[in-house]
Amino acid sequence: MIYFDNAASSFPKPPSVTAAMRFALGHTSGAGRSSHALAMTGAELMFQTRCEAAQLFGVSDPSRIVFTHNATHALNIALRSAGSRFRRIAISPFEHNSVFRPLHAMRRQVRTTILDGELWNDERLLSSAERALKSGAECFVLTHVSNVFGAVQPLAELDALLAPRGIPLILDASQSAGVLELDVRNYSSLAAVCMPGHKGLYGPTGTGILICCDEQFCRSVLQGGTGGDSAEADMPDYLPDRLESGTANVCGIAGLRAGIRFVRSVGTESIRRKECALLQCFRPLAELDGVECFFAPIPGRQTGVLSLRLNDLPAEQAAAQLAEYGICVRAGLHCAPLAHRTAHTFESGTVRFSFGWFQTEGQAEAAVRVLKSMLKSTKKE
Amino acid sequence: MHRMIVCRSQTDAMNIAKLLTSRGITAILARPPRSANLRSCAWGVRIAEADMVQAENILNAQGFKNWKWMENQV
Repeated sequence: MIYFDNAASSFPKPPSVTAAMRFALGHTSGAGRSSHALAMTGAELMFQTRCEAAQLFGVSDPSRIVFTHNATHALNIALRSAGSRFRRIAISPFEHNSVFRPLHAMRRQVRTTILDGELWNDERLLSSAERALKSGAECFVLTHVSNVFGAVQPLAELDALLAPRGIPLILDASQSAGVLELDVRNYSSLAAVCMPGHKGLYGPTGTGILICCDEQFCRSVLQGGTGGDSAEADMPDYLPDRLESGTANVCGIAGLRAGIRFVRSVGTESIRRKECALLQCFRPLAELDGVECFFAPIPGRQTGVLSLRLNDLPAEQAAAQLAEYGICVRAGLHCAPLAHRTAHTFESGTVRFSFGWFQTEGQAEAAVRVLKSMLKSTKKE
Repeated sequence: MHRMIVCRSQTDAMNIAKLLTSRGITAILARPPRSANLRSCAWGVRIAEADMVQAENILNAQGFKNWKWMENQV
């Protein structure tokens, strides 16, 4: 099997992740409630994971690292918090449904402006952001890297626009965490950064992180037991307890810790270089008739995610044929219709190849050979 | 004899325990008993009474604010 669907979830996981989860299953019993050895082992694992994540993302206080079930959960907390305070929120034209749908659900209270953009055109996005600011946008949401095209969005430039005006930015780091260097201290407009644990951080599914850069920004959306201040009817007002109620996914978080340690040991720069090298293996396809490949015109503006479409074969069929060869990809709209509308690929969708640390150039070259033979077959018909 | 540093949350308590341990003070996480002055379930850090002054100096120097001493020895 050749796995090119890391943008959905990274695979395989480092062996240390499996080992950490097995340890947690056999040696912990919840966390944050009881004070016996099993519970304290779980608590220690969770705390160490917060510390590892804090170090990876330049966060000085580990209590600002909040565990969620995935990026969608983290985004819902951040967006609903924003929606309770702001009436006008601007989003990039590449946002995932995890951003668009919560805002759409709040459309009676919040007016969402979708910035004008074009694939690989940062200037157009930034000009649109300036106009949105003049029109009264109070909060911005940006996906750091498009899950469809791997396009790296102009975070630094947008931060430079927003920070002097005190406008908060919610960052969806689903495709950038663990791949691009992300030190939150470099971006003073950041209010919240949301990410899954199971993609670039190589943790298991069922994990996610919400970094509360602005300590007061995110409000409690799920109320319940926190293991502390139990006599009070109100949720605690301090982090991380304010945003973490119910028993945590201790085994998942143990695995996430191992994943983060793996990323830190390899280095995000090495991971990014490897993924980009795999992306370049697909370059020969760009010369062929019958296939449209979405490569960034400027080097460095794309991570290891490549979308393409075959002119004579629907994306879903192409993916099914690739699966017959044991090549795992994703096809369709990738839960990001906005991105497809921006890139004019909404009607067709795309076939998406997304690379990770454990895939090889040999596998990429094999996939290219299969695609070439599929193209030939399609032409003959 | 021991004293207990009472914290808001388990995360705060673990932060404090980590700091004190790094400075040579034995610091154990524990649940302080509820009392008239401590109505809610809390988390604490138990240290030797002899380390109280040093612990307080360390916490103040590092800017830790959200803690208090439990009134009684534990």
